[in-house]
Order: sequence, then structure tokens, then C-alpha cells
Amino acid sequence: MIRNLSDEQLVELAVGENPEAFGVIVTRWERKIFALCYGMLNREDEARDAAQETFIAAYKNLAKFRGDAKVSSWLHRIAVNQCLTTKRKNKSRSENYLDDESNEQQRVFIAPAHLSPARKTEQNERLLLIRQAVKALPVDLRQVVIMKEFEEMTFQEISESLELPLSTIKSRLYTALKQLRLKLEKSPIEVI
Amino acid sequence: MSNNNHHNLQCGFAEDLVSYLYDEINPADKSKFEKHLDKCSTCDKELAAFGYVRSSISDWREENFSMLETPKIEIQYPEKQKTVEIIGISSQPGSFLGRLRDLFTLSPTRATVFAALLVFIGLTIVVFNFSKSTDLVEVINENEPNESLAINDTNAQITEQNPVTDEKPIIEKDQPKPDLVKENKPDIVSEPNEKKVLVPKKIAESVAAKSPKNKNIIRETRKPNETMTANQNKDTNIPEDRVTRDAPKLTNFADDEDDSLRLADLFDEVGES
Repeated sequence: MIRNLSDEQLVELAVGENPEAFGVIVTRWERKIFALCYGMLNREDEARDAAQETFIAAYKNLAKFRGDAKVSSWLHRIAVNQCLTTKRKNKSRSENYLDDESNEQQRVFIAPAHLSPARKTEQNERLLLIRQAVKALPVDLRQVVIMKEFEEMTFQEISESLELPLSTIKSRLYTALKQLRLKLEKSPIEVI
Repeated sequence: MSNNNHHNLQCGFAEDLVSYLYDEINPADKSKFEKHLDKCSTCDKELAAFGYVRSSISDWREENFSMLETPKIEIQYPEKQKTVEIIGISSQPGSFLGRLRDLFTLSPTRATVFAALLVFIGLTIVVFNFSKSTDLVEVINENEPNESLAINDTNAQITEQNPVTDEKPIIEKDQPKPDLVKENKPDIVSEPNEKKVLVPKKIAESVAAKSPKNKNIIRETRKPNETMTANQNKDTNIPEDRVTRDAPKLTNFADDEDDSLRLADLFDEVGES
């Protein structure tokens, strides 16, 4: 069965003009790539578009795919680049319209129904804060956080995907968590 | 594991802390780190703070991302590939529709064979037409012997006879066709002092039209393997003595069907004369 093949084997088939093989790759990675885009962009609509563009770009450049790299790392690289492109577009667009930060403030989060109104407000503020904190991280650190928390990848998988040593991944995650902690501590919400 | 720890944590357990936080630490390092936690308040506080950060991110994911549907990725595959996909789905074993589609699908191999077949048919038609248009005519050149014929055809058969004659050029192109089947007889068409060349009819006509000074007599003939019966020659004005007839066959002989010359008829004619 074609679904049991590795990513690299599927790419070989897809290069040989077998769209079904690329369809399997899409099915296998679309959720993770969407999660990465969502974590990087903080907006659902932009994340959807970025995920779509990621796979389109991957399909168009199948012939350029180097066999020595992993398909997952290749897709992640494309996705991160796509997210950065989207952010650049948003930045230039926000010069004419409302600033993204002000939109963030206006966005309403729906807290769980079982919480009291005070707790709901606190929960919403905390989610807003962590979103802004993650958004403020450098791209290399943010990428590792999103892959770990949103894509739920292991350290080993992230290491292979980003083609970086395991220790580098752990080190980046440690640094990212430390910066996030500092951001949360500066907020009016009490952090432990 | 502890040797590669991040320098931000002075105790040197940064990587173990992260691995412990995400429960991706091997049992030996886990035991070692737990013993360290009992003694290091910095690592203990850091672990708690990171746990809070992680739970915040987790809440964010649960509240805002987990409920989102995965977007439907739509890739515009090339048209050819779409066709392959459709055929692949419909061509299940036993599917009549699938087999029918496969039959009419223009695969590269079939396309090549089809194109070759078309080229072959085209060439056959061209060759056939060419062979029809090259009905040989007999050109009798009555010019001076050193005057070259204005016809240059590699297939021409030249039988040179006596060189000089004073006859004017006669073109008998539209004359009744004196088609003859040569049966090892002396050539009754040939005249003295002439060059006889068998050339394609069109070439002979064009040469005659362009170069009237060539004293050529054009007579049509047919390919050697073509025969004409005496009945067909009745409609023409061919002299009787120039017509050769098919020899009667001994089998299937019938008086009412046989128009060939018989010895008895000859005697009758002699008697009448």
C-alpha cells in the first residue's frame, strides 16, 4: 500500500507524476503544518492560507527536493518561510490599517463555562498574554516551541526535522521557556 | 546528558530540566535529576515556572487551536495527472466502464503506434498516386544524333537506333492510345532513325510544351504488366495489324465468348478476298 511508504519514497513517486503519492504526504502532515502556521501567525485564516501555500509550494518544487534532507524538515522550512512572508505582508498592510496588537486586544477569548466570571477574565488575559509572548519570540525559538507544544513532536523528531543536534533543540526550548516566563512574570497576572 | 547542559542554568542541568519537563528523559538521568532537584532550589523554581508557561501554551492550544478543523488542502494537479487519477479510480477489476475508458485512453505507446500508422497510410497513398501519374509514354526523338534529349530521367530506357531523320516533330499525345503488348515481336511503332525513350507521361508532356524544338513523338504506352484486350481496342482507331490479342485458352472455350483470331477465320478472309 502506498500509505505505508516513507515520506521520501512518496516524494519519489510524486516526482514521477503520481498525485496520489503527494496526497498521502499532504494527509500525513497537514495537521502539523497547520499547527505550526497557527502558532507562528496566531490567526486561523492566515494559518489556513499559509498551510495551503506551503503544500502548493512543496508540490511545485518537488523536483528540487534533495534526497539527503527529510521531507518533514523540508515542509517545515517551507512553512516557516511562508509564515514569515505572511507576517511581512501583514506588517506592510497594518501600516495603513489598525495595528495587529490593537486587534489582539480586542479579540475575545471564550473561557470554559465552569469558571467564575473573575476566573474567566483571568483565563482570557492569560491566553492573550501567552500568545503575545510567543509571538514576540525570535523565529528560531518560536519554531521549536510551536513544534513541541502544537505539533507535539518529540525532541528527536524536531532535531531531525530541523536538521539540528538534539542538544541545540533542548537548549533553544530552554531559552524560549525562560523568555516566556519573564514575559508572563512582568504581566499583572500573578505567575506562581 | 548533563555535559551539554545550557549555560543559562549555572548548575548545568538545563537540558535535563527540559527533558524532565516533557518526560523525555531516560530513567538514569531522571533519577539523577530528581536527586538534584531536592538540593537545587533554582532548578525547582524554574521547573515550576516552566510548567506554568507550558500549561498556558497548552490552554491556548486547547482553547483556540484544537477545535479548528484541518484546512482542506487543494492542489491543482496538472490535467494529465487528473485523468490518470480518474482512470485509476474507475479502472477497478471487473469494471466495464473502467476497461472501456482504458481502451480509449490515448497512452503514449498507443499514440505513437497510431501516428506511425497514419504516416504509413499517407506514404502509401503518395506512392500509389505517383505510380499512377508515371504512366510511361514513348518518346521518339527524331533530332540529330548529337542533339540531346530534353528529358532527363534516370528510369528512362533508351534504345538508340539510326541517328538521322528529316521528319517534323509530331506529338501524338491526344491520339488514340496505341497500347501494345510486346511479345518479342519487332517493334511495330518504332521508325527508322529515331531514339525511343520510355518516360513518365507528365514529364514528356511538360518537356514537349516547353521545348517545341525537340522533335519528339510522344506515344502513350502502359506498363509492361498491363494488358488490354481486343474488345477494348474496338472503341479506338487503332489499326488492326497493330493490335495484339490474347491467345485463346484451351480451357473454358466457348464460341460466343471467343473473339480471338482463328485459323479458320483467316482462311475465310483469304477466300473472300
